[in-house]
Amino acid sequence: MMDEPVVEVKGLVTRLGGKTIHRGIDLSVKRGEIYAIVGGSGSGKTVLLREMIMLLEPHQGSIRVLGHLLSQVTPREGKWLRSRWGVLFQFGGLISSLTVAQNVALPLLEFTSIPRELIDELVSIKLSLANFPLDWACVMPNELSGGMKKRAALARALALDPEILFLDEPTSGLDPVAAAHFDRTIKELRDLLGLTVVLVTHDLDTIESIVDRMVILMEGEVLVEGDPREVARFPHPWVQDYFHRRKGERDWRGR
Amino acid sequence: MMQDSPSLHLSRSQSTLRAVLKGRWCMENIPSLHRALEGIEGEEGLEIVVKGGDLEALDTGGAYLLMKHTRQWMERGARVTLRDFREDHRRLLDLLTQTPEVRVCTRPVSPNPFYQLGRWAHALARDILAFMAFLGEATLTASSLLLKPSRVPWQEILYEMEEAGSKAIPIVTLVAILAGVVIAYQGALQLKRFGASIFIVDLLAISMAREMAPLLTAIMVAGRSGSAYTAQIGTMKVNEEIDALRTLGISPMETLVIPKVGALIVVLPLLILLADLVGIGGGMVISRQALGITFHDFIFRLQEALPLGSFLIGIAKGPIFALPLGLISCFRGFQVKGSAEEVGRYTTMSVVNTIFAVIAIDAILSVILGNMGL
Repeated sequence: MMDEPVVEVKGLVTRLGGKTIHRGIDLSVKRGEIYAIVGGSGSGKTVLLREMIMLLEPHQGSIRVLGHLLSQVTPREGKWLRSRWGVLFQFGGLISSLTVAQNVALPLLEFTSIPRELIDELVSIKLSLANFPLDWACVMPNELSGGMKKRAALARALALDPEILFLDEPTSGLDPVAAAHFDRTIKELRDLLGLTVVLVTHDLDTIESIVDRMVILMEGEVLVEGDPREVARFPHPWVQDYFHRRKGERDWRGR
Repeated sequence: MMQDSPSLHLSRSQSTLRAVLKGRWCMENIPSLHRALEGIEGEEGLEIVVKGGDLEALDTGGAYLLMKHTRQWMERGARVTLRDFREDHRRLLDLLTQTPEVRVCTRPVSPNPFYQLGRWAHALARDILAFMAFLGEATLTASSLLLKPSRVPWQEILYEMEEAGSKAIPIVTLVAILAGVVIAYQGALQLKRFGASIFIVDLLAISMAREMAPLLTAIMVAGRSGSAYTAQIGTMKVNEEIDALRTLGISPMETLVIPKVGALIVVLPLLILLADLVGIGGGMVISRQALGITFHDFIFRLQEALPLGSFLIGIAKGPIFALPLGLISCFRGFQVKGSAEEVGRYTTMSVVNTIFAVIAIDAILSVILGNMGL
């Protein structure tokens, strides 16, 4: 049970609007690791993530999450699975007619029968786990900055203590300091709660500081999968460009 | 899926209570665990030993519940020790002891009615002031365009005329015919009893030309075009398109508001004329069916029944309604800020406001014109 991959993708083919996005993707995510999906714009990273969380269906191939084949889950199993993962959308996906606290309470009200007073306290715990300042808990989402929205959305993703956390570009649109802080929060949560984290990212800082394993998608296929340090040595112009940018920056910083 | 039900085994010897935790202390089991823990009364001098070595799983929900009750027992004077917890569980418990026990309210609060009244009045006053400013800006832009006719955005005006005018023809026709049918039919039933059947023409012509056609057309246009204006400008506001226009030195007032309002002023009287024709036409058909008045008699009577004044007043209501209708719906669009949700809210407000404005102006006109003897 523990050695079985948490997410396993095999032979995945996706076509959207007449274009083939994925032509046979295989990858697997192990329990407890932080796994990054990387690739140029339009390489189908977000589509892949959306297929893992049952928002899109692939044309061919299989996706297993927590041992369940997604193409064959019953509605009941689907509901259970959805309570076992938390999703952080790129722009938060907070419900705009509810306050931040109500957003975080939403999954708790939907999936559990916890008494209301306890929910109120749990919500404040989740918000503080995600480093969201509690004085802002009763504010409407459209009054929040991008960084605050992400933290609120992270708190909502954590609401049910999921086993897997799916993050779509968690640090995009954040300033470098806030991004580093967000990365640290995710790593702490992984260590503390034993989460498995699957994230789509462009951010080299994230990859360097918290990612255990990563995959690079290129033209609908897996270019390379592995430890970030191994991947960085992979002899492919795009990969070298991608990681090299960083080295230049570091030299400049050391001067 | 491990579904071992969580449990709490209690054994008491003199002043020591041993609580052994087993199973999965997780979110989904909170309600039952909460009840079980509430059964423990922490009393003065009691020593509570909580053993967590056999726990299968502990998540923030379970840990939070345990710490919450621990805190309560200690407040009542009991001594609590936690033993044998796994390293990761202990860290989780430590973390939750550090976070203060705060309750954020997730229930919708209904504010006090005086507060709501004050808020409403404040919002109304602010809206009125903002609308005055908008009106001023629109007037300035319009008069500067009058001085420089070459700058008038003819192309946009024509486009808006097509959108609000030509494309509204089918629905305005349909609604006007139905209104004519309804008036003629109801009138026929009453007039027949008095043997004054021919007066159906007077009834139909005056009510249609003077009141029904202008009012119905304006309401249709408010629902069709007014709401579209608010939604369009509101969406542009959310997408920062309005800001982009401003930075490019293009006045949104000139490119968005003037063409829309201008087009409505031209198009609404034309639509009213159409509604007059088809509405009276619809009534004419019903008159023949229900009262046996021939088309010839109807049209002959119509020439006497409908004074030119009433007809012209009906047409003149077009521009009079078009101006507030266009201005209010554009104004509501500019008020949108922040999220897409606001667009929907302001569009609703815009439709309610414009229809109210149209009916209120119509009522005022009726009183004024009535007193003038027109």
